[in-house]
This record gives sequence, structure tokens and C-alpha cells, in this order.
Amino acid sequence: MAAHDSNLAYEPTWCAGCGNFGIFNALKKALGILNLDLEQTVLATGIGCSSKISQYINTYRIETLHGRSLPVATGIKLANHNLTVIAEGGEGDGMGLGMGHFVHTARRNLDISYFIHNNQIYGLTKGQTSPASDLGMITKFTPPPLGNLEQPINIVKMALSVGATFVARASVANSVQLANLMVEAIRHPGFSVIDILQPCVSFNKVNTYQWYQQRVKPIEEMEGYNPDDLNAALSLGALWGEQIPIGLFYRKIRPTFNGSLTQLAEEPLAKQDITGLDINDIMKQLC
Amino acid sequence: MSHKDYTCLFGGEAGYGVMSAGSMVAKGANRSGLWSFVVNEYPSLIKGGLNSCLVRLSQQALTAYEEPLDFLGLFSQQAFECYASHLKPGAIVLYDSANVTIDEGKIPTGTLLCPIALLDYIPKGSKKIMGNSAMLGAFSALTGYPLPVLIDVIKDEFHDEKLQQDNIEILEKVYAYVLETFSVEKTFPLHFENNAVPKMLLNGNESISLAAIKAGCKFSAGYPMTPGSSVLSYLVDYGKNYGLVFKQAEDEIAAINMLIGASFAGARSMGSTSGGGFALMVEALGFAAQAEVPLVMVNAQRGGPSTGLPTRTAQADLNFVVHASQGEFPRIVVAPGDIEECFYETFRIFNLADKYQVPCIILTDKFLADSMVSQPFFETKELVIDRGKLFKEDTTSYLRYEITPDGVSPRAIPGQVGGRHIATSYTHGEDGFYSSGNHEYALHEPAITVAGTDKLYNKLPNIEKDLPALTLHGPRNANLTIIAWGSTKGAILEAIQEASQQGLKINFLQVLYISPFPTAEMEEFLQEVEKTLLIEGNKTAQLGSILRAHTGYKPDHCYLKYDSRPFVPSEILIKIKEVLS
Repeated sequence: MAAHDSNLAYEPTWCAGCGNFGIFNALKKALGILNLDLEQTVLATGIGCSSKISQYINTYRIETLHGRSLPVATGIKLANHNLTVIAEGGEGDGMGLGMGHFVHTARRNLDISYFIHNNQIYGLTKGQTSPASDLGMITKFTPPPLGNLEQPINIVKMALSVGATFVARASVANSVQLANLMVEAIRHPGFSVIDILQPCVSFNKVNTYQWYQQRVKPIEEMEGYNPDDLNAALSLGALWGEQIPIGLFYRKIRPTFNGSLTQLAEEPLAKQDITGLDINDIMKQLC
Repeated sequence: MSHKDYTCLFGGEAGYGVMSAGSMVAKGANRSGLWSFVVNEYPSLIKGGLNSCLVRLSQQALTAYEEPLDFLGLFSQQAFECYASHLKPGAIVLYDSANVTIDEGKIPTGTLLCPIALLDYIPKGSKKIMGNSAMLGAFSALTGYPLPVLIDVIKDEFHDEKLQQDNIEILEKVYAYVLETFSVEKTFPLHFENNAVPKMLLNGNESISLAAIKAGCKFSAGYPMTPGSSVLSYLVDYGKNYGLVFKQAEDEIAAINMLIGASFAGARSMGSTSGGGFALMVEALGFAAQAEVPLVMVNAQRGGPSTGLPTRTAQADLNFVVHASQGEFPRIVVAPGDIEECFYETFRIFNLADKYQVPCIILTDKFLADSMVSQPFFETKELVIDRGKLFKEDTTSYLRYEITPDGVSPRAIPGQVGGRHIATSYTHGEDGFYSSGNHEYALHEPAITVAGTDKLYNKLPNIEKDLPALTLHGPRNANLTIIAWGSTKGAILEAIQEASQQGLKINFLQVLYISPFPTAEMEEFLQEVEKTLLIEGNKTAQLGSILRAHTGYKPDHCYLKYDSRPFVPSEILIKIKEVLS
């Protein structure tokens, strides 16, 4: 299936200059590189500006509730483990309402990919604090002089701590690296997470393209860095501020949840014949 | 009441196995041509408290239980205090002499008292749950319940040979001791048959799970919540050989969203919870409706609001379940009245969910979920799977939410060639696109909103035709009509049977499907009624309010019970006589 096939006729409604365009393009590019059968690919998104990506890409898609892309993606993967399942959404969606699901999806190492569009602000509701907003950030709900009083969630650190087996961070400005990481993440047999830094041109006047570009530091340029080493990943992952590492932090092959279920050894659940099932044995057991 | 029956109750702290003692008595009787009705009551505790298991046995099929006891087996003082007043004249009381003191002022004269040091029979180092075998041995000797029947049940119950032998040994030892000591020579008042036609002994949750497996449910997800979660454990146990996957979720919100995901991907899926868990699921219930993803959810009601009464029964979630979610959409709510309806309506609802692509809720309660009843095998030959309108791969220009005369559009399953689409929680056009904000749709939003809403409601006429919403029990014309829903059915049936034997003309209109409400059928029926009595397990007459909203009819009398315990026939009969006098 050609990459252009992933385009739909609808025009995205994102603001001019929005980071979501870059992520959208990188995703289409990654699907093309992987030459994925788009009929066998499902994108589950939450709700928010970034989650609208499911309205524009031509795979099977389900636009779920705010914060709930991961459990929906989990159900899809368990019902048909032959599908390539990608979940996507903003950091507000995923680290706010969705945090519980994020933690548990990671520890069960389901074979799905999760791409988090992280602009450190709520966009669609017009500029409230996000779980990743920096300390002191002035937003609609955290006005001056105090600004945001809560520590931001570092998605990479979070993902590493709860057992994700592929953890990366990318910046939308580095589109080649982003698309390549998406390719690797989708290929990875397990729960893969990419924290994708993107500006919100309308509501985040602090964390702009320039702000990110001045700080990002590609991991592949760090000599001797080994993504097999969880401790190294955790200490690199702790970095945030003057330097923001981007690239692959950690990769580990562990048994996947779906791969461990004997029920899924063969035919997907959704394809099993359900006509004329015989329950006489159970009825006899109940006598 | 008119049944020739025998009721025994085993009571004690959690941990003594009173519930398994009761279920073994029921199972043995069930295998011997008798009919059983088993009611468990227990607090939300792991150890201690008061657990009780009431077993009513009869030569005829049973639909309810009554409280008066022929036999009371006691492990604790609390059990005595609680049930002493339920003893029939001439009843037998068997009690653990080490832990129970009988106050004869609290029991009828002529009660046969049998103190036995039950726990002394347990081998040293063994668990006190084996006390139930001592209890059963004594029960058999005192009542004439055939010992070999119990031994057979124990053999099936314990797969570990040592455990099996130990239990049988206790049973026989106590049996011999009791015969010797109390010089009773009893014949059990009900006839035990050899080679009786096999019947199942199962509860409502088991029945629902069995139907789900028959209906091809391949995926379930849930979070434990009494009394809904045993549906999930039965799906795990019985689903093993059917390739069913159960995923314990981090919370009920995740559970219902997993079910929606699995159903979207083409697997029949069902969840089960109680009111609190259902409350957490409500947003996603609307999502399933908006995205038109088939969904089957069980809500086994318990006392509420909030944490309420985890292990006790109630019928107070009806209004909630019928109205839950923002926005408007049709849903199907079925309230099975007994084990049989749990089975057949669960099977039906899987078909309805697929056929109409709407959320479907099976509303039961702790009493129905948990009480075990003798039940002949379900007839499964006629049960046919209907997946509804599905996308065919040769379709060109597929629209997932195509407007059709009956409101239902063919559903494409991910993986099907040519069926790619977006399923969405947003209000959307025929292709699934969000109508607000997309430049292409901006000018048409009001029209799309109306068309989308009407599409959902255009399903209603066919849904209504498919639902056996009302069932009339008893004569067409009666001096009093009882209107009720859910697990009150069995007690009402026995009460009206008794009433008719006493020359009263009573019938019972059971509302099986409450949403969509069978307005036309109900209105037609109500024209013929003389006097009505509404019976519900809640304070505010919730079915009554729904009935009034749809028909303007207000029942003449209400019997509302919200004391956390189930209805019994004799109390209903008293109410019947009261309103007829």
C-alpha cells in the first residue's frame, strides 16, 4: 500500500504552524516506509487537537473519549492481534485522564504503539495548564504571579518507570528522526512510547519551536549510550530543561501480553466461528 | 405456602463453609429429583460476620424462598440470635455446643435441640471449613436426608483424594454419633429418587455467563465489584475451552473502553459490574451509542448510593441505568426475572446489540445474581447467531454511518478490505467525520446533527418489534394486577398461585424490557385492569415513575421494599389481601 493512500480528502483544522502537521506527515511517512497494509492498521485516538489526527489519516480509526485511547486500543489488539494498532493523543489526554491507563498498558506490554503529542498546554480548550506544563507556567487556569505550582510529568521518565519496552522522545522539528522512531516503535514487539515535543502556536508562547530547538540534544550523538541499559535510560530520562535529550532512550524485548495468551496463539478472537457453539459440557458440570 | 417443602438454613461466621454446606445439600437434592432454591446472605467480610445459606427443597419447581425453617444448623451465637425467630414449630436446631448457647425463651416449644461439638471432629491441623462436613453428617442423621447422596456430592466437590476421604470420614463419624446419641429415626419428608432426570443448579450470574459463551462472547474485561464480578469469573472458568479472553482492567472506565475496542474490532464482548462500576462506565456508554459499537453490559444491583451495601440486594438502579449518559440515544435494558430469563435474554441481547448497534444492559440484582435454583437444561438448538448488517467487501464508496430507512448501517470490521472508516464519539456525518469544525461540514452542522440523531432513533420501531417486553402471568382478567420487574418475579408467581388457590383472581404483568419502554402495549393492557399493585425493591417506585412518564398511569397501590433483603411470597400475599380488602 503506497504512502499517499494514507491521505484523506479532508483538510486538517489545526492552526497554521501547528506542530500536529509535522506529526501527521511523519506518521504518513512512517506508514509508507513500513509499507503497512492500511486495511490492517487501526489508529485509536483520544480527544483534543492532536487526537483529530484520526480524522485525516486513511487507516481504520476510532476517535474515542478524552483520555481513553489506550483501553480502546487494548480491546482492539486483543480482539484481533493481527492488526497493527497505534494509539495517539495529547499529553493532557494521556497524562491527565489517561494516566492510569498509561501505567497499566505499559506494565502489561501489549504490542501497540503510543504516540503522545506533547505541547505542554491544553489547546482545544484554549490554553489551560497541562500535566506537562513547566513549573511557574502562566496559563488561563494558573494566572500570575504564581503560575503553575505543580511539577511537570516527564513522559519519558514515567514510561521507563512503569515498564514500557520502547521509550523515545522526538521533536516535531526533527522530522526525519521522528518518522524513523515511529517506524521503529511500530516494529517493536511490545508497548512503545514516543513523547513527541511540539509547539502550540496559539496558546503556548513559551515552549516554541525555537525553545525546543535550542535545547534538544540527539541521543545518537551521545557517545557510548546504550539503549539496552534501563539505569542509563532513567538517568538520561531525568534530564529536562536546559538540555532535552531526543531519540531512543530504551528498548527491551520482553514477552508481550497478547503474545503470552494461549487463546491468541492462532486465529484472532474476532475471526473465530461463533455459530452452533456447544455448551452441553458446562450444563452437565452444573448438575 | 402450598408447596410441600423443606427449608433448612446453615449459619455461622465466614470461614466455616456454611455456603458450601448449603449448596451441597441443594445439589444432592437436585440430583435426586427434588427442586432447590438457595439463598446466600453474607456481609462484606472475609472472616467473621454472619454468613447464612438457606436451602428450600420441594417436590415441585421452586421460584422463591420462604423464611420459616424446618432445620437450623448453627456455628455461631449470632446465627442463633438472627434466625431463632424463624423456626417453625417442631423444627430441629443443630448447634456447635462449643460456641452456641440456646436461649429456650427465643424458640418455639417442641424444638428438637441437638448440641454437638462439631469442631472436635476436625482432624488436628485441618481447616475449620471442614466443620461443614461435621454439620452435614449431623444434618443427615437428624433429618433423614440420605447420607449416600451427600457422600456422592462430596466426592465430586473435592478432587483431592485425601481431602475427600477426610471429609467423608468426618461426615460418617458425626452421623453415627448423632444416631446413637439423639435416638432420632427420621424419614426426610421429601422423596429422593434414584436415577432422576439431571437438572442444573446455578445462579443468575452463571446463567448469564453460560448464555454469553453460547452467544459467542469472545472477550470480556472488568474490574471486580460484588455482586457483578462473578459473571466475570464464570466467563474465565467456563470460557477456557471456548478461547474467550478476559482482561482484568485497572478500573471500570478502562474495562468498558476495552469492550468497545474489542467490539469495534469484531469480537462479541460483554462486561459485568454493579452500580458503582456502572457509574464509572457511563461516559463510555454514550460513546458506544454515538459510535454505534455493539455493547453488552451487566449491572447486578446492590444497595446504594455510593459504596452502599456491597453484598445485599436492591432494585434502585433502574432510573439510573435507563437514563445514564449525557445526550439522547436509544438503549436496550432488559431485567430478567429468573435464571431462565437470564439465559435466554442474554443470548437474545447479544443478537440485538449487533443487529441494532446500540448499548444493551442486563439489569439484575444481588438476589438473582447469587441465588441458585434447580433448572432443567437450556434448549439451545433454536438459538441462532445474528450479527446484524455487516459490510461486504465488494461494496464501493462505503459510508459507515450511511443513513438508512431503519437507522442501521452496515458495520465494517477492521481488516476488511474497502471498509476503512472512522468510528467516533463526536456527532458526525455519514462518513464518520466530525461535523463541527471541519471546513467541509461547517455549513451543514444543524442538518447533520438532526440526521444523526434521527438515525439513532429510527432504529426504535424495529427494536420494539423484536422485544418480548411484557409478559402476563395468570388470567387475562383479574381483580388485581401486579406490575413488577426483575427478580421479584419468582416471589410474585408463588404468591399469585397461592392467592388463586385461596380463590383470589390475581394476575401479574412482568416488565421484562424496560427500555425502550413498551408504551403502546402497556397502554392497551392498562385499559383492561381493575386495580393495580406495583412491587419494587426501591423507595421511590422507579418503574412507577417510568410507567407514569410514558403512559400517564399511576398504579393504585405500591409495595416498596428497600431493607436490603429480597421479597418473599407470603409477604406479597399479605399485601395482596390488604389492597383487596
